[in-house]
Amino acid sequence: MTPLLFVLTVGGISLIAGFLGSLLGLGGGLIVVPALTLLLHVDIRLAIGASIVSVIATSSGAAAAYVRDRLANIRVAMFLELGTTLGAITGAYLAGILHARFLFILFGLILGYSAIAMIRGRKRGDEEVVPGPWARVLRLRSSYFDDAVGEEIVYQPVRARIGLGLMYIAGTVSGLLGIGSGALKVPAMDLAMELPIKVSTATSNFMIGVTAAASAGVYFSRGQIDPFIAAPVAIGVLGGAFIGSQTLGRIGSRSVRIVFVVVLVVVALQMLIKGITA
Amino acid sequence: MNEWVDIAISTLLRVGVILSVTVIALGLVIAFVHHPEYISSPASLAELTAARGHYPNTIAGVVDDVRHFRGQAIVMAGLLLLIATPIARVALSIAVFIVEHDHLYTAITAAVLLILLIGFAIGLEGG
Repeated sequence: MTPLLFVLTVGGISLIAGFLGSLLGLGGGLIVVPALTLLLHVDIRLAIGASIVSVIATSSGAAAAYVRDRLANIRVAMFLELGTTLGAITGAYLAGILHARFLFILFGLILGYSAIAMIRGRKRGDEEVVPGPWARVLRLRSSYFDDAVGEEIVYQPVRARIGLGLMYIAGTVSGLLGIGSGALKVPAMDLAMELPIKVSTATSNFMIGVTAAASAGVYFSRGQIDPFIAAPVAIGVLGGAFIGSQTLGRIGSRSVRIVFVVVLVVVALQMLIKGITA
Repeated sequence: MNEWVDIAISTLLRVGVILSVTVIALGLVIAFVHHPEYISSPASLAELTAARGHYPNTIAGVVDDVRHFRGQAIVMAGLLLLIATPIARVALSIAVFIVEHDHLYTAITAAVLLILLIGFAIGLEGG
């Protein structure tokens, strides 16, 4: 393969990764890392460096549109970032103390459970959850215009403290395992805080860039960010994220939920396999 | 929340993304122009995707190589701009909340930035 063909191939794969990642609130490392290592035989360390770039590109590329369209809830994001950033530091400390193998299996199981819970959906109408003092003081209530149904959707996030706690765990996991934690962030916002699914993925998308940027410095100074690999990743992902951010508003919430759950199951299986074979 | 807050944050992200993608693409084109063999010779790929050597990994190194108009260093400068964008977003948010007299969110966002910077420092030390 010539370098030109390599750049075009990586760019094409990254376009898909950026598109899916921006719709689902994930970083795209899920696609970029296996594609680079298995298909193109790139060193795993450089593939991880490229995936960090992919997370940041997905996040910033799509968030510009999500913030403007108010699909991303900035207050929810800022508040929850307290948890993810603190968690990331905790994870960095715990790395080396805990066995990665055990963690992969544990989080594979948690993600599998989240997938089942998300497909069953929330029990609506049983009892109205009244927002606690935190959700009220933080003024998390918001609304967005849903293009798919053609109306303004008003929503009231609940259980802000539980959400914050779950984000701390999500941040710790990404610090420990070096994975983007969108797969944990979206279920936490969906199941615990009861945000609409599109708001959950868009807000997760908004948040993941900050977490990734915090660790990007390390990857850069370790020489894990290879410009020849990261350039087509960044360009492709940005293109895909741009297309995705124009698409999310228009597709049905149910479709977003189903695709997310399918991807969640794939990630859960990947983690279980890693944990068992590592 | 006032609309201008959304627009300010959204605009910053857009500018950061457009700027970095332009620089990255420019660097890539320059790399290909300087090395026409990249278009035809498969042999150079192994060298370009090898774990060590052909690119700078310090900010001073990037600046130095950009001065010599090296394509890969220009790409790296673009990547650094991309990495800086979300951090700039947090910093801008603080300013926006201050202007809005939103003390609670000023404090929350300032705490996030502080934690980020501490994390960065720990990371650099550990890396």
